[in-house]
Amino acid sequence: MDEQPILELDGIDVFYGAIQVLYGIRITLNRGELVCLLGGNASGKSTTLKTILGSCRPKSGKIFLNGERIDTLPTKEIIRRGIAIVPENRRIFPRMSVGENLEMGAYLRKDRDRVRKDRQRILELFPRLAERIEQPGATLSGGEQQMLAMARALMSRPDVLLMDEPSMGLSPRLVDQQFDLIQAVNKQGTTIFMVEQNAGMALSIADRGYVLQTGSIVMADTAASLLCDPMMREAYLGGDAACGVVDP
Amino acid sequence: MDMFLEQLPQQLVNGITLGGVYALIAIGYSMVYGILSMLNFAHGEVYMIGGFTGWWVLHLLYRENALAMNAVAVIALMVVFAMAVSGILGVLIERVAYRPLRHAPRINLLLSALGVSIFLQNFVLTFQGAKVRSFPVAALVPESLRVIQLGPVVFSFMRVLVIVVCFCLMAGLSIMIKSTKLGKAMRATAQDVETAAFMGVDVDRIIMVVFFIGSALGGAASVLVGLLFTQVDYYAGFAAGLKGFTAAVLGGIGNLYGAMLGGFVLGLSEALAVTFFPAAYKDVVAFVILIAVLILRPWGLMGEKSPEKV
Amino acid sequence: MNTTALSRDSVRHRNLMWLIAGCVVLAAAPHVMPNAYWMRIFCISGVYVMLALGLNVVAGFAGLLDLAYVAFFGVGGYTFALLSSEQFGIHLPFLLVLPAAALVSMVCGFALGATSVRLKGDYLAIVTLAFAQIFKLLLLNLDRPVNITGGVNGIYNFDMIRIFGLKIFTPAAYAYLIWGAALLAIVGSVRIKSSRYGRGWQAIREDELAAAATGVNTAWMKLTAFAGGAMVAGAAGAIFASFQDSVFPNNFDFQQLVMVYCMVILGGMGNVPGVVAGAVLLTILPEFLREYGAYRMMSYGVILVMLMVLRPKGLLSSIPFLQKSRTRPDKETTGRLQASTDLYYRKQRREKSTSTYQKGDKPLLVLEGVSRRFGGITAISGLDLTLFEREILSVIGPNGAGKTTLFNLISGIIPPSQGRILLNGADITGHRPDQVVRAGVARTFQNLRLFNGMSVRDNTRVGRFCRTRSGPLSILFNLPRHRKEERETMERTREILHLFGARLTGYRFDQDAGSLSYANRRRVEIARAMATGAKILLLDEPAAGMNPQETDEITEFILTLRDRYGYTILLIEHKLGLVRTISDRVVVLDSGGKITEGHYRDVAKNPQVIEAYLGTRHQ
Repeated sequence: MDEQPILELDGIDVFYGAIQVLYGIRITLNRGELVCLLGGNASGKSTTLKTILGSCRPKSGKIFLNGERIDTLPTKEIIRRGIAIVPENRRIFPRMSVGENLEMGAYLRKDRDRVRKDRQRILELFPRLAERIEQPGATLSGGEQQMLAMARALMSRPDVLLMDEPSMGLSPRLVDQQFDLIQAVNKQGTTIFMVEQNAGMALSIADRGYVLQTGSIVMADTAASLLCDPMMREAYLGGDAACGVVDP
Repeated sequence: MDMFLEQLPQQLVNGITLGGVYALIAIGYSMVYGILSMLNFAHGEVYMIGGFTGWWVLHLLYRENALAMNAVAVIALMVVFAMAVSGILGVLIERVAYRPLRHAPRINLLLSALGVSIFLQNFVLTFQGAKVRSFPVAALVPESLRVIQLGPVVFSFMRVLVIVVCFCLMAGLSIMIKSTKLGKAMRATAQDVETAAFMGVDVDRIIMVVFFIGSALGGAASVLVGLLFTQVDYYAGFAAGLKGFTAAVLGGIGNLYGAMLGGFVLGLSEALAVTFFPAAYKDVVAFVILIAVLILRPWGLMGEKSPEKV
Repeated sequence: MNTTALSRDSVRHRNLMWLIAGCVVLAAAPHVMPNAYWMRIFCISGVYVMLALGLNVVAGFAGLLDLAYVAFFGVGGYTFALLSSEQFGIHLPFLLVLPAAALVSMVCGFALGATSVRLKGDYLAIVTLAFAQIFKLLLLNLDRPVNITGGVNGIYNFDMIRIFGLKIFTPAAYAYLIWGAALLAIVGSVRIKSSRYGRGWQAIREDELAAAATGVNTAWMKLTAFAGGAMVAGAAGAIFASFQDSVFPNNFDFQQLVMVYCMVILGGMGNVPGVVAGAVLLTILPEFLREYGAYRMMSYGVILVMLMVLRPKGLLSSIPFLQKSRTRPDKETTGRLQASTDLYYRKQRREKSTSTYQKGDKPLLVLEGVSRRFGGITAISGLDLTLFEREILSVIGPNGAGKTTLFNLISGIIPPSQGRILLNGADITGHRPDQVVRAGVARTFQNLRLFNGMSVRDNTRVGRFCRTRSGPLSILFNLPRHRKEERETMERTREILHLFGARLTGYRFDQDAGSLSYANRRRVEIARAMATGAKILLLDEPAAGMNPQETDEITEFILTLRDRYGYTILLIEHKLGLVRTISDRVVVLDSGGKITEGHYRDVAKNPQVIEAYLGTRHQ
């Protein structure tokens, strides 16, 4: 059963009222992979994430996590089964301390001892957060907020970590930091599914990519081949990305 | 002036009692506002119905000649029943009239709340009549305990009781919000609903809890007011609601401790104003404070002045 | 162009037909009423039509939840009572009292508006509720020490009204008087709704801040909404008082208010024919349910909740001819990858993609030592900045550097704590947003703040608000000046939208802005800013959320704005490709201060800039 994908979207159709926004989306994630979903605004990227998290319901199609069907479960149960998200714009709780933010990450966990150990481990990973453990979230700098959002998501020991537009609204320097962080977390064994507009950056660290356009997947391939695809370069990459050079 | 000074200690006591009650009502407004950013117009009516529940419990016990029971037990029974009824009513209102409108424009939500308020008020009017119901408090407290003289100040037993109950409820709530898991989930939801949901918080449940607690505190306040002023009628929610809201705004709406502070400030101002103005215009004091605060310092005493997000 | 002119004519034609039909029915109605009882209901329903239409101005058009509205009805009623009865022994003719009542009421509305104009939504509701309560307390208690209002007993026995010697005392005469006034209110409502005032109010209802930043004087517009509504209510109050021949405090209490709100909501807020129908319906309906009288107020509560939950746009919105035309969703269906459809155009554009235009050297916008603090935090400190004529100046910097605060300061949304802002040498420090727009600086927003419920055309037309002058009178009487301005507004709007090619014209003209694609919404925001006639555009991340192809397109468009139309542009952007391509100069901000400024080439090499913003990969 090692071959079983960790997360699988099987022919998802989603409607907002009468308007169809997702058309038969098929996406699979294997354990340990870093996969990105690319696309412009209103292409349905956020809806895809919301559907995985159960805040949008597919009209048809199924979603499996570790082989278990989750598309009919409430959000809480989906989270409990091993999905965590770093939301767009990080969205840390501004008037709760860093420690309390981390606690919220482990909200559904009952194994208190393991939670304590995980917290220890994560704070070792992000020593800056340990220094600021009592500070309210709002007082952190942009970079620290990024770390906190990531740390908070990791507190639930997710099988799959979803990242919604990690580079959105960040300065180039913070974007670099953010992608380094994503890569590091992935290297430690967390499967990551990342939704991103910055196709060049995303593909430079991802294993595979899907391209979403007006609700349909129009391309799916390894990151390396997407980077070199002429259509892809024309539509999404602009002149910025270098073909064949996958940044370590 | 002399008379004023003479009355001052007594009015301070009255003000603190009144303030505690206002604070309890204000908390209900503030909690709901903190989580849904809406003014729960129906809160005053929930308060009023809590008072009726308390009256009803007392009335039943009185009729059954059960008042020989310990006064504290009777009052506890009244408060608990009122809290339960108000709390459940609050949850029901949220479910029926607010939840379907969570993504609708704000003005719709407000109008829906207004509708609930009108409905409840007239429901009570229709089935209970416009008659003022009085609390047979006198039969409740033994003569020897009714007043406590302390220098120039007279504490009635009821006032002491009201202050104690208010403080217990507020302290309990503060501890709950500060350190329990539920309290933290409530704060997280108030700060960012969507993200809280993504942490696994059942947001609908949290909103229910908030409505329950806020409404229950309103119900408790209503019973306390009933015990103090010995009466309740169908229209009681209107003025109480406006005052609770004034207290909440005064303290900085959405801020729990602000609501408590605002309650006491308003209670004291009213108690002191009574010595200067004719009683017919008593309510005008609260309205003037409300209007002044909203125009001069709309973020309140403890609220944060946050520039609008652009 | 022909089609719109045609449709406008046909709309006018249709409205006229309705008006004539309405007049005929109303003229005939008093003569076919079965008895005095129904005649009375017919009259009362006319009063409610007026009342509901007045409320519709405040709550429907402008979206202000005014809970003191019924007090203005009372002010009108009591003004009439005091000026034509034995109460003070004053007996003025009706043709003087009616305008006086409307005027007094309007002044009260103005005063209420002035105290609460800064309040929003819930706060406004509660303050106006408090005012209404004070008004009722006054009515009840002002019989002592001097008897003014008559307390609970009210005032009664008024003079018979005469209009040009015509005595009005039969129910039929009242019916003509009341419905004549109601008809005026209907025509006035329809006219004002489709004027600059109507659009200004709607813009405030949709997004007050965006309205201000588009040149709408929001405070004034809210005041006029309050005053206008109050005026109608005052006139209705005077007529009602005369009809009833008495006034009591409980004619003007909270229950009345709730009923009028129900009428407006039932008809659909802002929907004039709907509101008229709602008012008539809710006057007649309770008469059939008399035996359930006790449940009447209860049922109003239920109606309110049910309407909000099930039919927030009003019950009558489901009747087709009252409905706004339905819009198509904006879905691109062509092309496998979007790029392929536009590949050709893009190639063409790229040829001329670098600007050869030279900026002028006349300083247009100058910031001198501008600072802004929020509580203890300094968002901008001592910033000096000069924007030259026809320059494209980009502001870059890390998050929290104060870029958006800078825009808010320039556009007048927040005043600076220190320093001066000069436009063309004139000091505009501390000016309101609409004044800044009129002076010639318009902006867009990072998170897009369109009037989502308004069409593309109306969004743009709101931009013309600050360049037009017609007041309520010329709108209500449809004077030539108003007609001319409307025509010019339309032409200018069409011109601007055509600059965006097929993207915003054709059927999209009438599409709600909220239903457009993200990139198109960004375009409408720019169009709206251009419509204000401003010469300086502040663009806050114009390319955010656009794919590379759309980014190229917007880059090109910004260049065109400057090269062909002479705009001066200040922009915030994170997309360095765009910044590099179009900026004459770049200013780098960090923690509220300027690190450096100059040409992109030089700025990008600055070690401080690399440390704070760019990082090492983008040198």
